[in-house]
Amino acid sequence: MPDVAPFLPVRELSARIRRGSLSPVALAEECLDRLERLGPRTHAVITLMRESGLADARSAEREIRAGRWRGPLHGISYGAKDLLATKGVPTTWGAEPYRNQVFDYDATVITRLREAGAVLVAKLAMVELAGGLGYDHTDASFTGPGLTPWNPGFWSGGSSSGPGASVAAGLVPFAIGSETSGSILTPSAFCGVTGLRPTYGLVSRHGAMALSWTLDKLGPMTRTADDAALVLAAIAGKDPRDESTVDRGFRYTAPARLARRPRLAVPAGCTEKVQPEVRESFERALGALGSFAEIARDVAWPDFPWGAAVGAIVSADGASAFRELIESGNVAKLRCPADRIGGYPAMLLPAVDYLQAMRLRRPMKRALAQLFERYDAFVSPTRSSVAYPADRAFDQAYPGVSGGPALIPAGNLCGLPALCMPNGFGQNGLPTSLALLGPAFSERHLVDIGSAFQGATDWHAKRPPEA
Amino acid sequence: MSAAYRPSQGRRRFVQLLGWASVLAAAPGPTLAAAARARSESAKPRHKPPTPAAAAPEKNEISQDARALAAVLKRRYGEHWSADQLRSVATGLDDDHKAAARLGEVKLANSEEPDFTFNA
Repeated sequence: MPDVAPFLPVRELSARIRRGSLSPVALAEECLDRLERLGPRTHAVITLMRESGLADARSAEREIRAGRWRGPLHGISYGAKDLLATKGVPTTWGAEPYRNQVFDYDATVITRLREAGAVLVAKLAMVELAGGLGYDHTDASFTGPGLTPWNPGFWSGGSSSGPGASVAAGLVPFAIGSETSGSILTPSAFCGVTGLRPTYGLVSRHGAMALSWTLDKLGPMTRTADDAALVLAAIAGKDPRDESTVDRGFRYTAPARLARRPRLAVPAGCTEKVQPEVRESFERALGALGSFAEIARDVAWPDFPWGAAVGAIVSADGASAFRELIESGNVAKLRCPADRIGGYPAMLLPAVDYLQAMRLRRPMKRALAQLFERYDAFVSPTRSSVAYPADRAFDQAYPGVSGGPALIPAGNLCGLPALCMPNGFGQNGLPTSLALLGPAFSERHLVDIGSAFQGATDWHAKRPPEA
Repeated sequence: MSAAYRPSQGRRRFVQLLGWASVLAAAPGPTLAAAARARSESAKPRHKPPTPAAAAPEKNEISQDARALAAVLKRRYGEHWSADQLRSVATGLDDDHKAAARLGEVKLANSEEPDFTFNA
């Protein structure tokens, strides 16, 4: 297979750039060409940033040649989910009513990546309004349904659909996605890439579209766990413009050898109703993990109304965040019919129900904290199935298939980090994925576990056909 | 927000199981006052949580509360809603009520505060 630069890990690209065997301008040109040529196949791109991207790449090249190397992201092209404000460039939130929206400032994440020398080459597609109004079909963005490069008859996952598809198809070496409840992990799983959802407060949300103020998080979608950590190190840290950020950064240079065998817990019931191929991939992955970790099976998962709680919070926050859109009736301009009416029921959500959900988060966190006294991380299939067919409503995708314990809503309600990685293939040539869920600010440990797993397997190095 | 973890995720499937006539018949009927009454009744102090039977549902039916609240929303925002949209709104309200009931099943101590902080 030809050496397509955007398929290489960031670490390898960075090494080539630093020793002068790869030009940041050549990398940006290759990414822009692939974004333009292949992006439409998966509806992954909203705005191509050719002019500014090439200018930034030339600037990076000059600096590096002059000996001013900023770090491992210097000269590396990337894409950003189109909910991150970029000065002077449309930021559409994936939604027709905001198609011409332009901010006069950059999101903190964009600023930090620029300071690290990374080169923004595209604003990437997303489910409209990050899916907060109840979409029930893949066709829920003004750019059309996001499709996975592994099989264009199937969904890329959402709401970070463009970042997932773009990294998987080798259009960019890495991308920034966002997660309120599943929006980094799901497209990472359906597109066969590595996704890192950071602890709430580790990465500034300033300049990102708000869907839910206590749930929204920004994180990297990459080829490897190591790459995810390199990106996280550049974007993490306190930001006075986001009061939720904490005064601790994320330092990282390279994966560390695990000091001891990590204790990994498999939640009871997590593979009971998943697709058979998802179960097989997971069992095989447990075998690989078991070569360097202790695996505890059938660990009881705390019994809380996880889904109901995250639903109430997102409903209320989303209706508040988009109140004007809903009350004006402009919500009718959204692409997915379910989104056109999905915000209205939340207008009458009782405050006591919202507060009950917010009060539940404390006992929920205590329950998981107790478990993390015994285990370093939970491990489970990221999703119960491979990607959904693109032409069907979600509830028609795989009848009878469902997940076990609600790790995605639980992890998000408690603000915990998660790392997901490809671990095989299921039906129709589509990737399967496993996820690690750790205690708050355990990203470093999750990345080291992930790097050990990816050192023992090669699922992360697979390329989609025709990409 | 990924698809599987969005609010009212069972809405569509639930909608398909419904008899629409009851929703359509009820929607234009209840006045805002009636709907407000329904809300205020459910808001009265009570010694135990409302029984689902009062507010809701035989299996696969939209509750009276949800129908009444759907009528409020239609009056406020839904002049041009189609019948399908009205049904979806009513079903969404019903889903929210069911979710709220699940939330309410967890008993919390008075000292348990919402997980956000206010600073003066």
